[in-house]
Amino acid sequence: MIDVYAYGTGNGFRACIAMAECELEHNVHKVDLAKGDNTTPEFLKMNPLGSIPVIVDHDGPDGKSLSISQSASIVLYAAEKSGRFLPSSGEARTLALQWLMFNASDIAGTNNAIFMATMRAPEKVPAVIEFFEERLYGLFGDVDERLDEVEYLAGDISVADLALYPFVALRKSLLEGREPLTNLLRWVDVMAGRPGVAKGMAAFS
Amino acid sequence: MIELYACNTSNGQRGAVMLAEAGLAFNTHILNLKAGEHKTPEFRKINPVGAVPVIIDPDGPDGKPLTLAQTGAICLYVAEKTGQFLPQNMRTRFIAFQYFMQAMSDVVLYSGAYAFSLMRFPEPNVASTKVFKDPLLEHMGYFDQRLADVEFLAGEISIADIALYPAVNQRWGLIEELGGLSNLNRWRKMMAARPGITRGMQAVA
Repeated sequence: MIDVYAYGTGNGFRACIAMAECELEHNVHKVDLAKGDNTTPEFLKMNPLGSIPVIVDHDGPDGKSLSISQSASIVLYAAEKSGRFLPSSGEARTLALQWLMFNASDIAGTNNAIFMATMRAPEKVPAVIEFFEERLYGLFGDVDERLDEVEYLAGDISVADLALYPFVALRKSLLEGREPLTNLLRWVDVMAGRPGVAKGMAAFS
Repeated sequence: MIELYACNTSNGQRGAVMLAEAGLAFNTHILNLKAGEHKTPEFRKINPVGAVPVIIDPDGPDGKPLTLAQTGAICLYVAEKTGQFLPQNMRTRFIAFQYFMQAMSDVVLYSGAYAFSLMRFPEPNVASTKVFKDPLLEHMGYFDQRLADVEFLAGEISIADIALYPAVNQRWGLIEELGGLSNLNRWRKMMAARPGITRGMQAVA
């Protein structure tokens, strides 16, 4: 059994989707960031950084409990534990990891910069927000180009798709009123129709 | 022989340091980003997204040549190819992934976004730099705490240390403002003294 401590952010949904898609037995515990649930002594004992998601796998490596944070490493953990969504070798594995890292560094990073600039800045600076929104739209454009050639980021569905989905779903408004990224939208529909993705996205509903 | 296309940014340094630390022979091609050398049609043939670093390994997976972008993916690829910097013990390996992802997503984000706000707003803009600089330093403080207990982030040296080092080196001036991050400083000096780090940093300098 895996305990998942998360909230309805891109990173939080990432963990929930990974658990559901890999069909790992898990319980989701809501850590309400708006209420500061991530700053309680209990939570900080689990993750001193106070960030979500965190998982505790009571049946970790060597049969002992393991706690890890960082959404992308949680996705990797779920994939390696279940033997799914990540080929064990070859070019397909390299491609899946390349697009996983694109999502972990570029997409999630830019998304979080928008969050910080809009929600956390004591004073909003429109030029800063606009810069990061344009950058995120540009990155979505890169994904769209890629999805013109292949059905999923690495060819077959992989950790990369699981890690990207919630960030596109939560920033859909960014795609409105612009040149439609038709390949990306097609992929969003396919992903949204997956029971595991739907279950992960409904974790806090 | 691996070809590395990079410039003297922290991501370029990560690629070079990873190759050097793994003991792989490589040729470095330095791109001048200011002159737009990463956006030329020739370079876009190598990486359609026009970002560095990129490596070309003539002896890639399945014995075929591989072109690989994304700093984090290059680190993972080189580690798996050479069987180095990824702990054998699965528990330690996932701890390494966790710190690696923290470096590749949170640290890269805040460090980059901080540099951007400074560039865009040469007049000190407390509001926008604060939301990037403070979290960056918070992460550094967290690494410092971790390094009080262990020599390297995952206990043994791993891709996590290699991914973090260029950012610590680049932002050391800022980090020093905090004073007293003595564990991080010890680690920084130990890393800097490694021949692979020296060779990698020099390759893109």
